[in-house]
Amino acid sequence: MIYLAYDGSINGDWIAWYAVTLAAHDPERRLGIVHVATAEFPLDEVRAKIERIERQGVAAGVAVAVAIVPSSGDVFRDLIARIENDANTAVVCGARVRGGGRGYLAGTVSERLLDHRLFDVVAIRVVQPGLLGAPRRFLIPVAGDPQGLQTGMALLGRFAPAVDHVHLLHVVMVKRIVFRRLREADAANLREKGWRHLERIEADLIARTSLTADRIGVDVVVSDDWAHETIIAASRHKSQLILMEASRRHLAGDFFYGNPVEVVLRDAPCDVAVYRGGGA
Amino acid sequence: MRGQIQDIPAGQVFDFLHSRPEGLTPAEIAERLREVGPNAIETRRRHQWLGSLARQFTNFFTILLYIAASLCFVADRVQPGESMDILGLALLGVAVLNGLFGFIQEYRAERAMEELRKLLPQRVTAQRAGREETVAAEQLVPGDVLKIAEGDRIPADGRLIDCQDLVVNNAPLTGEARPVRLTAAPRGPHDNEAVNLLLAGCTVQQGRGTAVVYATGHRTEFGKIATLSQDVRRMISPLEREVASMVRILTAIAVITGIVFFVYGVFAGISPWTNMVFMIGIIVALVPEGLLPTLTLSLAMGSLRMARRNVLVKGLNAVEALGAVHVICTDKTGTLTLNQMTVTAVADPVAGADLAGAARAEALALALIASDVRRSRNSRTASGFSGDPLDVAVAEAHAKSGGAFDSVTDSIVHRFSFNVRKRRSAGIARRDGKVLFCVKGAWESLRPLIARIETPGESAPVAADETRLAQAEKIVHRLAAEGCRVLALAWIELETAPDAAAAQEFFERGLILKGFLGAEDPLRPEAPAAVARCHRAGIRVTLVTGDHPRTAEAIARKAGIVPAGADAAVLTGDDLDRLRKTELAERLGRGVHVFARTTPEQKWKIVSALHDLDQVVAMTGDGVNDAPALRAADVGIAMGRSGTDVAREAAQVILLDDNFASIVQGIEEGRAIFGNIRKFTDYVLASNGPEIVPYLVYMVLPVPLALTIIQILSIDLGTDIVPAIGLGQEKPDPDTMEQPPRDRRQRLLNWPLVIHSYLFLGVIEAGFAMFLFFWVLVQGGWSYGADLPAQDSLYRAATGITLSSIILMQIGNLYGRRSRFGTGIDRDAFRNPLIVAGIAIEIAFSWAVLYFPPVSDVLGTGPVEPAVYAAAWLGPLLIYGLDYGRKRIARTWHRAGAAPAFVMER
Repeated sequence: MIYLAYDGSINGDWIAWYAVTLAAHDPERRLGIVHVATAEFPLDEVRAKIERIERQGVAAGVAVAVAIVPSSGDVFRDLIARIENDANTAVVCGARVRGGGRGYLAGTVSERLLDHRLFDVVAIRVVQPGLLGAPRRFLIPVAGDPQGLQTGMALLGRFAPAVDHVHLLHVVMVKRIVFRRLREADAANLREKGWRHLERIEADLIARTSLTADRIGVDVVVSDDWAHETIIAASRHKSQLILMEASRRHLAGDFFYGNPVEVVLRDAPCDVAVYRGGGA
Repeated sequence: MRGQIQDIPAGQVFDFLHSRPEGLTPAEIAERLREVGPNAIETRRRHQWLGSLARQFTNFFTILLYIAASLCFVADRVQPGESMDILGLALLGVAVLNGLFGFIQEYRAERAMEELRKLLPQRVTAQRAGREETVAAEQLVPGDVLKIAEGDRIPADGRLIDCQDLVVNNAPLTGEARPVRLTAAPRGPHDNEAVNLLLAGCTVQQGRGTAVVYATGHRTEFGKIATLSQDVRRMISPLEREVASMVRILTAIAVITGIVFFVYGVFAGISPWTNMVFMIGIIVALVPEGLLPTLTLSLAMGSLRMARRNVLVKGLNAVEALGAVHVICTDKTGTLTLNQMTVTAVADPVAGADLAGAARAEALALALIASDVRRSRNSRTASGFSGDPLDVAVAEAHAKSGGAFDSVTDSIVHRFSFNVRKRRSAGIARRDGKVLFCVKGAWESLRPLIARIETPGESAPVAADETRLAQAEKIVHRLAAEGCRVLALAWIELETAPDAAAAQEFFERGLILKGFLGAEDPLRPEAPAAVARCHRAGIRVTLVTGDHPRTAEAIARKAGIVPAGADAAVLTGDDLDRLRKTELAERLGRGVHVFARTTPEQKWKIVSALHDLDQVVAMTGDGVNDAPALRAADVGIAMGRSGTDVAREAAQVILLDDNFASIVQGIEEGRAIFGNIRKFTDYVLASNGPEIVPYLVYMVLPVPLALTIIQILSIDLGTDIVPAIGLGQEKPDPDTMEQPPRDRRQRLLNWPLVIHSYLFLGVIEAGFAMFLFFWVLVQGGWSYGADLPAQDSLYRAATGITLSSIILMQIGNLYGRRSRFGTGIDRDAFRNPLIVAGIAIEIAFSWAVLYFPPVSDVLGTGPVEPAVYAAAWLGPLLIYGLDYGRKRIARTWHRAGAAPAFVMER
C-alpha cells in the first residue's frame, strides 16, 4: 500500500499526484493519506485539499483512505503509528523549502522517515507541477554500491509503463585536488571501470522492470562533485524526475562542501525524489 | 491515463495546477514563491565569484611570489637601505597583475547568462485575485494566469487555456526560425510535439492567449539551457594545463634549491640574515618572473593577429587551444556554404529535365503562391525579399524567370504557414479567373496526396500510379544526391472560393504533381582548399547539420570532408539518440564524417564522445540552444554575422565572417603561438643559469656575490621582456600546417628544453659572465678570499660587467631561438619590430648599467674599461656560435632519426 504523509502545503498538493500515480501502479491500488494536524495550516483548508486528492485518486481507480490525526508534538511518531508496516508499504512524503537557510530534508520528518528505514520511503520535491506526478524522463544517479538501487528499481517499476527514457548516470568521484590534475589516461581508466559497473546495473534494470534497452541511456562522468554533475545531466537530458537513493552518509552531508542531496534538491531543474529502502 | 499538463483538456488545467480563472490569491502566490523561488535564471552567486577571484590569487606561482615579496619586506625591516622593499613591491605587483588578468578572463566568459536574461521580459500581464495586473516577471509562480499578446516575450513555461490566432517564434529553444501556430487543445495521442505550451524566452509573433504557468526560473526549458550555458565546466585548455605544470616544476626547482642552500648555509655557519637573503636570491633567480606576463602579452598580441584574420578570440587560452585542435565540428549553412539559398533546378516530374521558359515561370509562380515572402526594406538579401530563405530563393528564381512578384502575391487569398510536423506550406490564389490551391514541401509528406502527374507534352495530367510515383522519387533522390534541398510542388484547381476557416487538409485532395524544385546553398569557393589544408594538418573535419542526410553528404563530398570514393558514413540525429556514447565514440573512431538531421542538443553528445577519444574539439554554433555545446567543446566557435548574442557570449572564439576558412587560419596562428611560447620559454630560462650560479659560487667559495637580486630582476622583468614578446610574435613556420596536431602528452616544459636552457645556454652564459666578473676583480687588485663592500667601485664595476654581459649574451640567444635548426638570421628577423626593439633595449641597457649613473646607482653597478665592455660583446657571438654548432649536430642526428634529448631543444 502507498501512504502519503500529507502536510497541507502546496508541495504536499503537488506530491499527491505522485502518490496517486504510485498507488495506481501498485497491485493493491490503495492510497492512505495521513495528515498530522498542526497549527501551520487551518484544518478546514486541509480537509478541502484532501478531498481534492481523494477525487484524483478515484479518477485514477485508486481506493483512498484518509486519516487526520491530532498532533502529539512528535509528528514523526504520530505518522508511523498510523502506517501499516509490511513488506509492500511505501511512504511518499515531501521535501519542501523551509527558509532561513535550512535544508529541504535535514532535521525534517521526511529525513527521520528516510533514516529509520521502517519501510520504503520516497521524499519528493516538486518544482514542475505540470508533470502531474507522471514523469516520463528519469535520471538515476548510480552510486558505486548497487544495493541501494533495489528500492529505486521497484519505484521505477511503478512508473515504467509511462516512462519514455531512463538515464543512468554514474559519477566516478575523485578528490577535488586530484581532479584538477587528473591525466586523461587515468580518467579513461576510471570511466572504463564505471562503464562496467553501469552495464551490470542496466542489465539488472532491464531484468527487473518492463524497460527495454532502447529506453535506457547511460553515462559515466569522472568528477569531484556528483551533485553538480547530476544537475547538469538533468538539464542536458531534459529529465523530469531525478530518482536518487539517500545513504546515511548523504543524509549526514559533508562538513566542508555541504550536503550534496540538499544541493540537488535546491538546484535541480526538475522534480527530485529521494528514496531509501526499508528493512533495517 | 491523465498524462501531463499538455495532455489534458484546457478546462481541467486550473484544477490540476491548483489555480482558478480569477488567478491566485496573494497568500497562494507568497507560498508558491517561497516554495519554488523567483522566476529568474540565476547568475553566478556572489560567493562563487569570490571563489573564482580567490582561486586566481592563490595558485602555486602567485603564492610563491607572495612569499618572496614578504621575505623582502621582512629583510627590508631587518636591514633597511638595500632596496628590498622595492623588490617586494615589484614581486607583489607581478602577482596581483597575473591574478587580476586571470580573473578578468574568467569573468568575461560568464556573460552568456546575461545575454540569456535579456530574452526574458521584465514585466508581464497576469490575472491575480480577480484582477488583471502588470507584475514583475520574477514574481510569477506555478498556477499564475498569464496573458500574452503580439510582441510579448514569454516569461515562463505555461499551458494555454485559450488563444486567438496565436503564433510564436520558438527559435531560441529549437533553432527553428519558422513560426509555430499554437492551440489550447490537448496534445493528441500520436502527436510528438505539444503545440499548446508557451515556452519561456520565446516571442509572440501574432495573436493573443491565456496560459497557466507550470514551470518557472531555471526549471523552464529555457532555464535549462541557461543552466548549461553557465554551469557546464569548461575543459581546461591544453595551454592552461601546460602552464600550470610548468609553473609547478619551476617553482619546485626554485624552492627546493633555495631550501637546500639555506640548510647548507646553516651548517656552513653563514649568518641567518645573509642566509635568508641568499635563499631569496636563489628563489628569485630561479623563478622566471617575467615568463607569465610575457605569455599573457604574447597571447594578447596573437589574439589581435587572429582578429585581423576574422577570428575574434575572447579568452586568451583559446588562442593556443585553437592550435591544438584535433577535430572541427562545423555547421554547414553560412560556414561551409554562402548561406545564399538559390533555386538551381526546376525539374519536370517524369523525366526530371530542367523546365525552361513559360513552363518554368509557371511552376515558380505556383511555388510562390505556396510561399510566405515579402518585399522588405530591412531585408538582408540583395533582391530585397524577406522571409524563409527557401521562400526567398523561390521569389528570386520567379523574378529571374520573368515573373511579376506583385502580380502573384496580390492574387493570394489565403496562406497556410509552413507546418513543421506536416513539412509543407500552401496557399490559395485567384489567377485568370481560377481558384488555385498550391502546396510545396517534402516529397515524403506530399507523395500520399498526389493523384495525378503533369507530363510535358501531354495536355492533361496522367494518373499517379506506383510506377510513375517511383519514377518521380528517383528524380528526388538524384537532386538530393547533388546536394539540393528538394521540394515537391503540387496544385489543384478549386471549384469554389475557399472558406477562411477551412483546414489545409480540406484542400489537399487529388493533388496534381507539378514538378520538383532543387534549391542549393552554394559552397564557399575557399572551403575545399581550407578542408584540404586541415587534412594535411592532421585535423579531422566533421559536418554537423540539421539538413537531410543526402544534402549533407553531397556538401561534405563537394567540400572534401568525405574523401573521394570513400563511404560517407552519415549518422542521423535518430542514430545519435540510439547510440550509446561509447558506441558513438567507436563509430567516430572508425571515421564518421557527417552528422545529418541533428539538433543542437545532440552536438554535445558528439563533443562528449570525442573527448572520450582524447580529442581536442572545436565546435561551431549560432543559436541560443547551441550555447551548452559551445561551452562543452574545448573551443566553442560562434558565428559573428548570423549568430545570436547568447552563442557569441558562450563561445571562446567568434568568427567575424562566418567562414570556415577563417577557422583554419586561426588554427595556424594558434599552432604558431605554441611554438613561439616554447621559443621564448627557452630564451627566458637560459638567463636563469647565470643568475643562479653567482649565488652557488658565493655560498661555497670566499668570493664576492657577482649578481644582486635587483640586478636579476632587471633582467627578468626588464631586458628579457620585449625580446621574449618579440619571439612570441614570430610568423608561423612554412610547414606549420603540414604537421599533425601536437601530441597532448607533449609538454611545454620538457627535459630537452630544460637541459638546453639551463645546462647548455645557461652554463655558457654563466661561465662567460663569471669569467668577466673575476677578470675585472683580479685586474682591479682583488685577492682571493677578500671581502668587498657593496659600495666599493671595484665591486660595482665587476658586478656591472657581469650583468652587462648576461644582457648582451641574450642577444645571441635571441637569434638562436628563432629557428630550430637554422641560423635564425634572415630578413624577417629585422622585420619583427619587437625583436629589433628588444635588441636595442638590451644594447642600451648593457651600456647604461656601466656608464649611465641614474641606472648604475639604482642597480649598484659601476663603469669598466671600454676594452672590458668590448670583450663582453664576444659573449653573444660565443653563445650564438656554440648553439649553432649544437644545431648542426642536432639536425644531422634528427635526420638520421637518432637525436638524443640533450642536443634537442624541443
